[in-house]
Amino acid sequence: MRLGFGLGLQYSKLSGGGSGFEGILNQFPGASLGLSLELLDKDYSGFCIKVRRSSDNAELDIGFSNDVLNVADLTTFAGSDSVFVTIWYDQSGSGNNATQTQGSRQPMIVDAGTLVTIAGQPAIQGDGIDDMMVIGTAINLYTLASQWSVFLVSKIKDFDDQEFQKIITNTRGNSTPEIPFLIQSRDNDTVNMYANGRNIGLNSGLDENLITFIKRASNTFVQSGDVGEVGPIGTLDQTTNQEPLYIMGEGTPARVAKVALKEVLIWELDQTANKTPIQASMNERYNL
Amino acid sequence: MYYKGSKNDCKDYNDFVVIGEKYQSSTNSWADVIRNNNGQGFAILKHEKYESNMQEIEKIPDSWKNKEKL
Repeated sequence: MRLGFGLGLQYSKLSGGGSGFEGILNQFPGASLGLSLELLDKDYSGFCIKVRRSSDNAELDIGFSNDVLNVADLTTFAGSDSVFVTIWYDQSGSGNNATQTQGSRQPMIVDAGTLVTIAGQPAIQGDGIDDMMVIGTAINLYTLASQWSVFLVSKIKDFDDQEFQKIITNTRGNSTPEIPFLIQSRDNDTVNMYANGRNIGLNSGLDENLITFIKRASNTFVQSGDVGEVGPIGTLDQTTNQEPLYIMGEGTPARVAKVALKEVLIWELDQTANKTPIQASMNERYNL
Repeated sequence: MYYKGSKNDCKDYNDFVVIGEKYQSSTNSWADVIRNNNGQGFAILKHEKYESNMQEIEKIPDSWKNKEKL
């Protein structure tokens, strides 16, 4: 199916739509977080995002059309204004919405009437200065015993913008032994992962457009690309999440990422066996 | 640009912007008040539509490392 939205933009959705639609959260159930600008679950009936318009600060919930973000509603609301995301709704059913109540820190989705895009598709853009969103403390990415799988569709807008840019994390700490969980870009064009106080990431083989990081029961890790398993685990064992989970930055405006996001999926499960089909779904839907 | 001043001045500036902008629904503040952990002073991001008598600075000084929100 090919969709046009009257903005000189076209993007294709190769699967889905109609009564036969099966979302990625139907195919791989049990997710703790499902943030996307596409419909992820055939049974999800809520909105995609809540947005704020720059000229008058009016807010509006935007839903889906043909299983993707309703761009027509969004751009009609925007007119020639900029539009910022105040809530990115969690489609997993876990209630882990990403929110930003501060006007100055809300990421952008329409820039002066022009839709923000990655490869022609809508995306949510952090400014790399102070923008970020908060997801809360419910997702366990912090105990030594935790298992989890994180999949991101993202675009680092400028690796050189800062030495470190936090894409998703649950800490304001910058010292490796203090970091329960972190995915960040580096100014040497790499993406690094941290878990339980250890830098897990290697400096090659990572795909910044489709980031995958899986922590396994065997205390080894699986990353994007062909890196394979790496390890071993760190030693930091938090019994409670001491800070919320943040995307695009952290609680203080430091090491904020100049990144555009389209999808953030987390399972508190080891999805190593499903890594390839999950990535294939993301590749297909986003033409990565 | 930022305004640098006392903690109360920065908080008042945030309230001034919130009232002026008439934020609705899921937006309830403009910006965090930032404290200089290595010395004196507080700061808040300037909103282009609202002026203040506080000192205007281009960016948060590097010497304010470990800056944190209040």
